[in-house]
Amino acid sequence: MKSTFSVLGTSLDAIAAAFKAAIALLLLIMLAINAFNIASRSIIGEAYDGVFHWTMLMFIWATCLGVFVYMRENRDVVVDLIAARMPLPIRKVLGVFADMIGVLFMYMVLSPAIELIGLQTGHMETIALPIYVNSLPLFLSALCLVAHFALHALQVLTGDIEPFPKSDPLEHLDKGAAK
Amino acid sequence: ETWRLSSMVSPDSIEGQAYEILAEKTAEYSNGDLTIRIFPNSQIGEMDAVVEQLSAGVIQLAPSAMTFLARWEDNIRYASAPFLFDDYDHWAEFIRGDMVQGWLGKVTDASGISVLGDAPAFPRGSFRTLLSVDPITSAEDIAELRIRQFNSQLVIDVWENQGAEVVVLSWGEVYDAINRNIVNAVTSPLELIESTRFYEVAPNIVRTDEYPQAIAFMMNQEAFDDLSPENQDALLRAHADASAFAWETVFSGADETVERIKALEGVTYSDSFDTSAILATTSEFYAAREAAGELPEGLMDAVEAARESAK
Amino acid sequence: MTLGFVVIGSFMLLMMIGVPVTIAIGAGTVAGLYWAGLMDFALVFPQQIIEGASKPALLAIPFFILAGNLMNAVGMTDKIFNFALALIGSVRAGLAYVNVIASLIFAGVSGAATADIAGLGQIEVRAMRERGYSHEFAAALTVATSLVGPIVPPSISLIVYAWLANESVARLFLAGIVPGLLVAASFIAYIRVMCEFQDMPREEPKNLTQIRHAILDGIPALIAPCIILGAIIFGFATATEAGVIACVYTLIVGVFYRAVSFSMLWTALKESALLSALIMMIIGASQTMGWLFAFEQVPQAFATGFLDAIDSRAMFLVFVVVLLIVIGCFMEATPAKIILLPLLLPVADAFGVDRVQFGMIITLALLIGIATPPMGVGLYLMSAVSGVKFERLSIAILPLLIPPFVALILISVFPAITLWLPDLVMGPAAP
Ligand code: NA
Ligand code: NA
Repeated sequence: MKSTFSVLGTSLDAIAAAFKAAIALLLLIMLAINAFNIASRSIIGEAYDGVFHWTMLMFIWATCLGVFVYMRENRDVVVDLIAARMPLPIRKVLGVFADMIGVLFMYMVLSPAIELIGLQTGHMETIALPIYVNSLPLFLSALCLVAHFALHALQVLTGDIEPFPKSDPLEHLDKGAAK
Repeated sequence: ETWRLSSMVSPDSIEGQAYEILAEKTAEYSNGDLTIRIFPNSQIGEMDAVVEQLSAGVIQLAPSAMTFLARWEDNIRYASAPFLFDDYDHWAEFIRGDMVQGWLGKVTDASGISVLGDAPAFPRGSFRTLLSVDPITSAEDIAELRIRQFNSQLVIDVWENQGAEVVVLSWGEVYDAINRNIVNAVTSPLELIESTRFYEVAPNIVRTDEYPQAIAFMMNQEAFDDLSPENQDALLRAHADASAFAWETVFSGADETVERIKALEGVTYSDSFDTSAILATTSEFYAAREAAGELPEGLMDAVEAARESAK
Repeated sequence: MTLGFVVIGSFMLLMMIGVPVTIAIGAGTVAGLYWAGLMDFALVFPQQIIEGASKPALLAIPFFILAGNLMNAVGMTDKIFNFALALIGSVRAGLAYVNVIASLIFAGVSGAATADIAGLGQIEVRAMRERGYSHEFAAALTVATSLVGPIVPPSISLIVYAWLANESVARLFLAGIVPGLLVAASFIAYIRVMCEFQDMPREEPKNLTQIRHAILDGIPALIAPCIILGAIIFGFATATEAGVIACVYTLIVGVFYRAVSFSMLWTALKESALLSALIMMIIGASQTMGWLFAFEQVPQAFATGFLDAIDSRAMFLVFVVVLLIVIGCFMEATPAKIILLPLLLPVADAFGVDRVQFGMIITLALLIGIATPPMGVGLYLMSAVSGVKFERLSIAILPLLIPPFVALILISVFPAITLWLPDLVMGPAAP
């Protein structure tokens, strides 16, 4: 059981690492093509309208893939004012409940996936790709998140993970966002 | 029963007023059995999202340009092909013709979206204009423009073919973009010049007659089929009334609108701008596409046939 | 109206018991869909999340965040703030004043407060923390001062209002200048008063050599904000492109300082992409909630529920301010305006409130909503950007809402604050 969890967890971590590399790369490409476009416009007076559309598309992809990464890394904004002060059994119940709510939300995102993709088979105006490529990364992330929440809930139940641990917010700053 | 109508415009525009009439008359003719709730100003989404909601039955009506159906039938974008039609009648005949109606049929099969009533009967605006920061006197000036267009490859191609640089921006960004010199021109139906205030930053206006515009009442076909015959009839009659109001207000009001715009301080307006050079280059553009097999088969013949029957 | 309570109630409950904010917003919306019998319309979930994340105006966010991260990494941020402090001298709370002025100067860059929080925000919070300010105060001040941006022109927010109210955009832009300065001044006054009661960090007095060093050192770093502002004001670039230019320039300066390495660049890219994803997903989830409110006409129900009882101009303005702060907590400013203005404008006209003044009132009120706990989207963003716990930030922001609120009251009571400048430049509005 434990080893199954750890294999699953390691796989999800690997996917998250891959997504993280992908979104960093997307941001780098967004930066590069826009820098090129600005240079081209100011030097030879030629700008490429496609740059805007590709930037937008990659921005959507990065957002959608990123949601799995930040949830997996527990970086979402969480108010644990109450939860973190509870005794362990209640923290376990709240932790599992939060995971179930996560699964519910992801179910709502995923349930219309087929219908929505069916409506978006036409191609985009300025990029020769089907419209649904906009939302595919969202569905991909949502699938991974279902696995993440389910695993997290199981690990909370078996005691592998302690839900709502005490944490120092300043420590988070130093290793996290603003560095 | 309540139908939901998503509108892109504000309730006090001509279009918005016509939708109110549709709602009032529908309630009246159906004796209150069918009511229409209007969501103005794209409250429940931009058109691309709205057509999906329409197809899925979340809403029942979304009046706008039929080109928003292009994802189900590519060719439908030629319903607003720039500089392809002589005048409103010519264009109306083309829309009512077998070719466009066939495209719409395909859309209905694929998406469950149909068009209520006769689209050309409900004009969106009288004619299209070009607003620019610097005055435009000849077709050569067009080549100097950085012009805003909406996200349509056909429209972009046509304007780039004129030598202009095209920047795609949403309607909401245009004013600021002109103000900051990111673009220096924008095209607009006459009726929107006053409400958008684009003339404050691009005060030189010429009439171009780029393409005629009408409102197609895109509708969830299944919802319509589920209505009682009485309610279907009420809806169709209300659509005819709203169309009549739009027709009357748009075409008889155009002269007054022009006068009001001319009277604005610092604004120049010309309806004698010579578009023949633009028409000539665009006609070469379409001919080249036809030769390359890039136009829908039979399009140019259908355009020609519509021209004949409009006479 | 009940639907509104169901959605907001479930959201708050879920958030308070530890459900992550993105999920709680989504789940609150699910509860609302269930309540309204709209579960068949789940389609709007993925659709509106994508729509919320694909607004051109927000495309600047990842680049501003990246620019901020890069500027920190190459040490440019310190140089900019050293420069500012050299000019300000050993005034107490000097950096807090700099924070206010920075938001005012950068107000021209983006019309979106969220972009200011995401980009400028992390630089400001970090600089203040290193100078001995409390983490919570630094974060809260940064959220509060970001409200200046959309009031001072150029502002998409004001353009949207101008269309809805059929007013001149140029007039509204002019009208925003004095109120923008007033809000900034109210923050400065607040900080000054606070210095009397609280021990605020004071910089060591510097001698002339040190000042000269700070200024000379700061010049290459200061070129970055100048490029950004210049590029935007002179139409060389959009806000998004200005963010790109800032990134590229910072990288060039970084190479010059020998502070750029591949691993530093890669870390900055990863962190920036992740943070912008978090911000955009919160916005995307809120968009879904906004869709449900629009679809079920919740704001209209709130407004009409009270409008009947209103019989004076003063009462109307108080009502509008309260309503919009509340609505601003859980809806983006633009859809909130689109939905409510058709309802409020005729009443404003009837009570003789000038439409330009009214525009300023509702723009500022909706902005204050962004920073109002427990549901202001700006607070979630800052919590994600700075790592300050949401609940601590919520408490720290409360006193800082006083200055913009006082400014809002002044703007509501004295039409001249808004109308003086446009009337002076463009002449009085036609009746
Ligand atoms: Na600030
Ligand atoms: Na601004």
